[in-house]
Amino acid sequence: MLFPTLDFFAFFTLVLILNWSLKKWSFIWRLFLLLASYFFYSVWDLRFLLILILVSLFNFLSALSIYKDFFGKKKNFFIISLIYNLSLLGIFKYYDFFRVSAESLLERFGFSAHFPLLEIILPIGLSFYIFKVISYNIDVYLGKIMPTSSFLDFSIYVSFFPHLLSGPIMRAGDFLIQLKDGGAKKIENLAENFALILMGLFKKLVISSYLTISITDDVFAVPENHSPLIILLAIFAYTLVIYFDFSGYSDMAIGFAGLLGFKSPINFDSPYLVTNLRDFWRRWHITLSDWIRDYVYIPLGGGQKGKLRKYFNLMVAMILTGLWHGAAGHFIFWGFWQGLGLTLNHAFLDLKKSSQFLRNSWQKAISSFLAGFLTFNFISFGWIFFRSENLQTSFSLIKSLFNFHKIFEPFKIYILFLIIFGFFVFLLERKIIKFLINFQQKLPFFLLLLLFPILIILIFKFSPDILPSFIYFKF
Amino acid sequence: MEKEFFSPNKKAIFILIFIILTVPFYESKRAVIWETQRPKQQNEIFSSIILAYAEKSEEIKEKFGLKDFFEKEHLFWLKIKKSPLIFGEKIISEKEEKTPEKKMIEEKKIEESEIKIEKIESPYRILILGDSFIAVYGGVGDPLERELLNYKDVEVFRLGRVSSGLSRPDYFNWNLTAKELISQYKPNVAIVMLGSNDAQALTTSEGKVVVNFVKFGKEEWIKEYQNRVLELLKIFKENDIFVFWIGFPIMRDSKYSEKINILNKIYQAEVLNHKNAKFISTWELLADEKGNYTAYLLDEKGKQKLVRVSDGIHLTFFGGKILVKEVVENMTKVMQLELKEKK
Repeated sequence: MLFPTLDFFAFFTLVLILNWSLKKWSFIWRLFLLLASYFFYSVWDLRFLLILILVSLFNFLSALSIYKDFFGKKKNFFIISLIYNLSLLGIFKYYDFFRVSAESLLERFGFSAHFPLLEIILPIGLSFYIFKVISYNIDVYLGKIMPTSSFLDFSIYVSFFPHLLSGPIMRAGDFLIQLKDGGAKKIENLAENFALILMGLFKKLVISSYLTISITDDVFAVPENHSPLIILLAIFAYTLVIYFDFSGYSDMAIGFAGLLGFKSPINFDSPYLVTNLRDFWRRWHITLSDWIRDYVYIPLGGGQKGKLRKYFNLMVAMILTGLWHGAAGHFIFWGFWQGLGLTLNHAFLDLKKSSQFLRNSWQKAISSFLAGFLTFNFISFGWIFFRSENLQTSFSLIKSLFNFHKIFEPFKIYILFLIIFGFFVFLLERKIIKFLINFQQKLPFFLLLLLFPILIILIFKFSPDILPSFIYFKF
Repeated sequence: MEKEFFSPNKKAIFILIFIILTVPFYESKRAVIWETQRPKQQNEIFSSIILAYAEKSEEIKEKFGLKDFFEKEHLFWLKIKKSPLIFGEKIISEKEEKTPEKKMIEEKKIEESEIKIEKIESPYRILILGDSFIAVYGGVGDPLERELLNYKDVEVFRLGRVSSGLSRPDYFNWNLTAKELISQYKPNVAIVMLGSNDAQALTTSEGKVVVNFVKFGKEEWIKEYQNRVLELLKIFKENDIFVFWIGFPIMRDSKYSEKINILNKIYQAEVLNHKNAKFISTWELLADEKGNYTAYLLDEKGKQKLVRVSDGIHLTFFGGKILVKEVVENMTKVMQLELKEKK
């Protein structure tokens, strides 16, 4: 069940009604939430559900064992749980990549080895919920949180359906507390939740979908057939596509969770309006970058062990971020690209501390504009590696970008408008949401009742016949 | 504290219920299309409720004479969506074509060896058409386009439409689109890979279901489907375009594979009757030595590589390349393809 479909709306309405009417009985309410999430997940594939339940059970027990320090072997339990979770991720996500690399490595040393060929289907959302349970175990190990003694609560945390498929990756400490005593008593910020859902629908169904089918899909598939200008447009278009696609999904997830009475962390905070890359990573896919910061970068020593070590740590963190998206050269290269940018960014800041050379305000304004421009282009260029099918395609795209023999190519002018429109929506996003919220508060209820279906129908009307699937469902 | 007349919870629930009741009613035609496009899921409780509701609402619209209004409204949106100013697609004439009358066009069967294929003169303007296999996602279209660009005097235009086919012209009409593309690009070669979604009930271009055409594989169904393939081939014939029709490879699901095999046979037979067309069979290309489905095949270095993606239908990049090689080999028999010199 995808968010922007009618069956999801039907499912959600039913869940919403029962969610609020079962709250009096805390146990039944929680059981209901769990079953609803399991139903939601099993619609994809029943076999996936089994993995989800196994992961919940294993991590529930491992966290308890770590906390109770059974046989004084806290550390061993922790390591076992880490190995279990990472190897699940490894098998489902990286098996074929490892098989091919290991075979060719062994061959280089004169061995011929053949690992079994497995046809593996990646359970949807696995990377997201594995990251959730890893953080839970680490937090328990470090004594940051107490493990829950309720298997039911923990299972809801792992499988909560608005967050299940593509995040936000919520921490157990923030989530479990919301299940206590029947959770929230009423929907707070109703208007905001509706505004987020509408905005998310619009961002995904209209802007991201049209940009995908009208330019990015074609150009990234066969870049050699396109002129530099079109390729440049496609790169900027994809910069918008990936933002609207994923942030649209996150908005909807936050909105739906909010209607059920759950607060979620934000995942995006106008990420392209930044003047440096460090800021970008504080505002892009926030729950993932926080995760990497807290569980990879800081344990490695963060910025505390000298400059060179800091740059190394940044590089490792970013390459791992790339690898999280998938086992492929182009994702790793994308991580490397971001790591390189962050390192340069930090190195520059380290230098700048000693010499403040910008004095008056207009100098500052110009420099921040230039910095913003540079950062935006750096990020957009990085998306080339993220989007391409493989590294080879990325490089031939870059080659075609500078192939000035083929300057002119007729193209539909509306694509340009669409990109400009996209930028405007991006810039005005906050204002639009605010406007929607105010609007709802001023209107009488029966008008709202009419307005919402009309808005949704309008969004559906303007969406293309076939929706490209969410980009982050692959991860 | 003052008690609100409508608590936020009730408000939200009311609004959502209202959305559920109105949106499918309003969008019922589309709701039906959405449902039939998607692969069958194990759990279809909600889908079937929505679908039943959507069909009912179509009936209600008809009963109250609202059909006209909705049709006009539909056209209105189509015009906006497809106007060159906004979304650039040309409006495909709304005078939708009638599905061809149910009569078999008898043509003399010719043996393949008898067909005299004329060599096609360069420069080549190649049109690639098809469903998800040709669209970005399926694994054949883009490697094919990239490969063809390596040759001299070749220009390529590709249009792949996910979930399209010849069964549901009400959803996407390939005959109209083909005509449109031919007049726009003036190709002399076409490569078609179409039909992986076609093992279903046939509808007319107005979306009407004809009882005889519902059951896949029945004699009437096959006859009607043959007509549709022929109709498409005719469009190319009238414009002197040489057609390469790519058949589908073996599929993982044995029932689906069986259906695809039937479709492949229809394409092969129709193409055989057609001058200046060639059917390229790919069934065995992606099968193992015993002729069964396999997800892995050896590459030229003798390494096992993944050829199919996890749905058991579409191809990986490597799998696509295997098909592309076969297609290009077939093309060189009638075309003079010369590699571009490397700069």
